[in-house]
Amino acid sequence: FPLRHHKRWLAEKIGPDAANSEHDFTRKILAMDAKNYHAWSHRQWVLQALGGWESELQYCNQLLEEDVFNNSAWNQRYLVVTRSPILGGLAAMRDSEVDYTVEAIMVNPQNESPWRYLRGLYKDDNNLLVADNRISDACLKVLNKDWTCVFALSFLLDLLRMGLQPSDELKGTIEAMENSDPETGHADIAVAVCSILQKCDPLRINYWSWYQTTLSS
Amino acid sequence: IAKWVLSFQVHPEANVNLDNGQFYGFCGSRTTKFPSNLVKDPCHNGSHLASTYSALATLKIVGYDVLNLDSKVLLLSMKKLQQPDGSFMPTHIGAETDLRFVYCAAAICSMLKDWSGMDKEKAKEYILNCQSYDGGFGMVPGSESHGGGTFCAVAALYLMGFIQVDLASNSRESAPIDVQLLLEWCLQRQAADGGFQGRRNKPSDTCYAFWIGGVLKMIGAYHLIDHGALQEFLLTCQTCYGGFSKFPDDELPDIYHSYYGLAALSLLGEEEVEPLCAELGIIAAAL
Repeated sequence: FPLRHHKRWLAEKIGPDAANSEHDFTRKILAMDAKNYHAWSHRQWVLQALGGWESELQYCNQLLEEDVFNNSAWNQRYLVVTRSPILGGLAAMRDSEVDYTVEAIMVNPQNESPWRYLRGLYKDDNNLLVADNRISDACLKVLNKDWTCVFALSFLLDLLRMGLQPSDELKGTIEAMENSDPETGHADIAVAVCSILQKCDPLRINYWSWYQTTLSS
Repeated sequence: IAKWVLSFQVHPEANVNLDNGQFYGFCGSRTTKFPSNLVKDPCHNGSHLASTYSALATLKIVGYDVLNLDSKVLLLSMKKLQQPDGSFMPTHIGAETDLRFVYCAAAICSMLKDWSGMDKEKAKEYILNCQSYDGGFGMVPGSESHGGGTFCAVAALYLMGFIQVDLASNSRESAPIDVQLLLEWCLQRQAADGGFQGRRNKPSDTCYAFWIGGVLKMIGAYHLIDHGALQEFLLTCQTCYGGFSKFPDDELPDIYHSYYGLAALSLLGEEEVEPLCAELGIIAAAL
């Protein structure tokens, strides 16, 4: 720890020239341990204090190609997309990021990282999230291939809570899921999704049943 | 034990200017403290926020009344460790700031029942800046959500009185953070093996059963986890020597994982384990 602090003190004195060598340094560490927390926080500090943003999004792409489950890389992506002075900010980047993330979801719907990242792209703007058809379409597509996908179900539940008006196709898919299990159908689609989640995510059955009680209020 | 712990308290010398920027708390070991009559060297004072938290917690556990301590200088000098962004440096020598030391400061003030040691509003601001897009908290703003960081954030807010949430009774009177997102983040950290992971897509580790379990306790949502699965997981982390290791089926235990493994069992309500005060991470009887 103290050594890293001293390095920072030095880097601050030297200025932006130090950025490249600091980025090389953290890159080497991350090549051995792609989730090293200290390396990531140092890398973020260097970006924000000394710069070097130009190739950072590409670096995230590379790491995610190597391991799409690397949540540290998804987190770094969020930093770049929201804070990079050369990319224009979240609003400007959102569109392309949604496409990138939905693709990652399709390749591996059981990976929680892109689902949460997708949600993060619309942080503090639920209306925009609900209005973006690509999102509900993605949920539907995943559920049509695997109706037990917990992340798709819970994202759908969030969308419904935020006011998504379910399409007939969506209603049909949910009804089909319920029919796979001979219990009474639910008039309220959100309640239906909740009860499906209690079966598909038994580790969190207490949560989903509690969630269901909050739906009626 | 109390006497030994107290021997690590660093007292300012007579006539020293208390505005010298040094922190007068507890140091962690004798090797960080070089007594010298000849040199007025700030490095001879090895006071550290984490050691101070540990010292006070240890004193309380063994039944020493920490209100008997001469804490005026401690609190005054601790406040100087707080940075403009609300975070805390752990020592006056200079080091990185992050949520761990905000938590230590809050715990210290709480145990000494004296909040003059920190600016709570500024600390709250820093903590809020650490909440990630997915509801968990990173150690510094922008960092990946982390079980330890999330505990430090929530426990500090809880101790400072900024969180009055009890999801069990559906009450959310006061919470400056996104509680729903936090709740989901915490619950998603329980993995298929029943244990808790410190970060998304990482292996389950014994200690996070406390760090994250503790958060859920504080927001009244502990009943929502799968208790049976967690208990089973924790028991697989016990080693043949006793104690707990970081991962299941590891051979070697360590004190850190043994402590937090036991603490996690306490949260589970395990028989013969003392009840815990989650926000301070020590047995409730110590308070």
